[in-house]
Amino acid sequence: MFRYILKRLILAVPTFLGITVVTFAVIHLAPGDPLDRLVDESVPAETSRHTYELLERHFGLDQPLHTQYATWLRRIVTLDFGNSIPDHRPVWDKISERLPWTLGVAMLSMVFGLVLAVPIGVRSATRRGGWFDSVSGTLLYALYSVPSYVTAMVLIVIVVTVPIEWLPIRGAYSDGFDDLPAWGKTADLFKHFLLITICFTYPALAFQARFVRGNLLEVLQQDYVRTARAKGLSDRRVVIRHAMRNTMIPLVTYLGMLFPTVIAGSAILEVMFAWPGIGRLMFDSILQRDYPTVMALSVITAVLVQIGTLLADVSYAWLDPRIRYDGGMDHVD
Amino acid sequence: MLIDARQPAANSHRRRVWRRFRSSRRGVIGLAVVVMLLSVALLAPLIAGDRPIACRYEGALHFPALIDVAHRFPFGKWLVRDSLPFSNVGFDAKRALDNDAFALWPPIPYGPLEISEDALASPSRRHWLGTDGNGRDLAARMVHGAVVSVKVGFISMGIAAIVGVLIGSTAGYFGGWTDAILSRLVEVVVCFPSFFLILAVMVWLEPGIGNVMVVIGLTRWTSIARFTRGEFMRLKRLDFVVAARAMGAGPIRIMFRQLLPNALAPVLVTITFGVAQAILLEAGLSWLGFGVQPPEPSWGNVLRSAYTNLRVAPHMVYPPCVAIFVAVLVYNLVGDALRDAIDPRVRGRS
Repeated sequence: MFRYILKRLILAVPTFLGITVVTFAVIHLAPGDPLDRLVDESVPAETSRHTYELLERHFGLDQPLHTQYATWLRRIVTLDFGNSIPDHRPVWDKISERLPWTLGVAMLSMVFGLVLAVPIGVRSATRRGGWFDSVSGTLLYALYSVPSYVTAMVLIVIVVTVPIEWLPIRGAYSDGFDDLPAWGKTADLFKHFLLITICFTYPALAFQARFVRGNLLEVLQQDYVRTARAKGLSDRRVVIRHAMRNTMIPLVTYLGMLFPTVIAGSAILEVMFAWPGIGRLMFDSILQRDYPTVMALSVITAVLVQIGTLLADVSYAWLDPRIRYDGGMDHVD
Repeated sequence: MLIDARQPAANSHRRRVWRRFRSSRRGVIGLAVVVMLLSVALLAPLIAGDRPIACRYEGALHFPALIDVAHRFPFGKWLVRDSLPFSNVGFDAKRALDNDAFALWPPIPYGPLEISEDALASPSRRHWLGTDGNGRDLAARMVHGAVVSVKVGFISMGIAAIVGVLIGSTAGYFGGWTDAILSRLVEVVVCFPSFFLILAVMVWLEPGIGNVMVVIGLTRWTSIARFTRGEFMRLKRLDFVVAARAMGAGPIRIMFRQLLPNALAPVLVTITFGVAQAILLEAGLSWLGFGVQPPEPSWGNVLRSAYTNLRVAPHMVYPPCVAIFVAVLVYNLVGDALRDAIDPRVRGRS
């Protein structure tokens, strides 16, 4: 197992380099110049060209591309992501003030999803083919096919046309949030989180419920479940103590793996709800050609995905000694 | 031919898969709607357009919309002549044709780009779904938007299938170092937040449907590569491959004549789900302004203009939402039914 982890870590290095080289190339070769917006157009041409050159030297953009990449790589080893080009702030500051908003929604939706999905999945698996199974199966299937941004649009339209005036559709907190008393803050956050959390929760819910059902059905056919039944344990006890345990572990692992993808996939929803999260930061940074921020965000997501995949693989191998890996692409998802 | 024996077996397998597919109600309904969407896309000028299907103009019979449909087929522009003067830019068929002249109009007698005076009108008898901010008929834009979703779905997945099959089959057949290197490549693309990559590339390229298709195709091939690789690894040890090799067939021949036909089933399932994803991505990109550019219609940019006019014309939101939902749903239904039909053992799992 140790050798396997070590091998995976070594293999992660070229993957990491590949991702950074591709991102670096794509974002730097894209037309458009981040410095254009910084140079004041109203001053004489001579002065503005001078400013431009100073800025270019300051951000190292006058160097050839491979030198820029080497510099960036050297810095990244010390976790220095550099400064953002449009506003000169450290990239890490910009990311860390946005991160809680995205993480908050992602965590909330996963918890709500699980709380609802597990009972639904268990009930439809234990009474397979019953009315609950077929109704919830069809509903979840339809739900799974509704793109979350479509739901977001419909919710927004409902709020606007009904109208539900107390329910905000933009942003994560109201103006003057800091002056509110503690309960006011909580209520304000709740109102703002409500819609976007719904949009993140229901696809997760649909997926998780189907996952629990499918896995549980498989587990319930195992010998040890039959043994438990033969010992005369009640159905309830068999499902909760014996079968659920082996269903939850793959689910939680899978969620861990999915987590970074959820964060990365949040761009459209965050733009729709004007949410101050990571997805919108990425979107804005790409538009502004803010090289350091785009690079930092890609690297962070890529590393998170790799950690998630590795953890998932390791825990699978740990749970099921029959699984042996050869380092191929089977377990990459 | 050394694999004559394979042919009838493959045929009966195909028939068995089709029989199992037909037994799934969801799959059949899904397939029916997919066929309907394809027909709407193909026959769009007959359903919505500002040119008549058939008409008498200056003593001669003309079929402008039918000729538009013919032009959508490959080489159609060479085989079928333009319907002059209807195809001239700026020729207004509605004004040119007398009221009492014979003219059979499409059920939605508006073109997707045709501008009228009443902007943001609510649904009415004249405009079934209302009009958008520029007074364009929403129903016409939805019908012609279907063309975009079909094109994006199939062409981008076609590209993805070519890349995925090539990489997956090479990795699976040769194994060893080739496999290790190609697996890293797949991992790089998988670990990439692909939506961000697409955004970054779309900023670089001109936004437009062609580039959207290429970019989606070049980023969504990884699961196709994985399945092809897996199937190749399983199949290459089987007797018929050993036999082919013993008879002197080269790797290329074995890969594409022997292995690929047998490995296509799981790839087909992945492609079906991929079409749904591609439609979703295109609409999302167009919503953000990186996909199909207005005035050209696409479900995504119709949704965007609905978002912009949210408070004035909320009726605009529902048609594109329903269309995107239905398209994604039916491709998923077909994909699920196909997967169950190909491998009945996995039926009922998530």
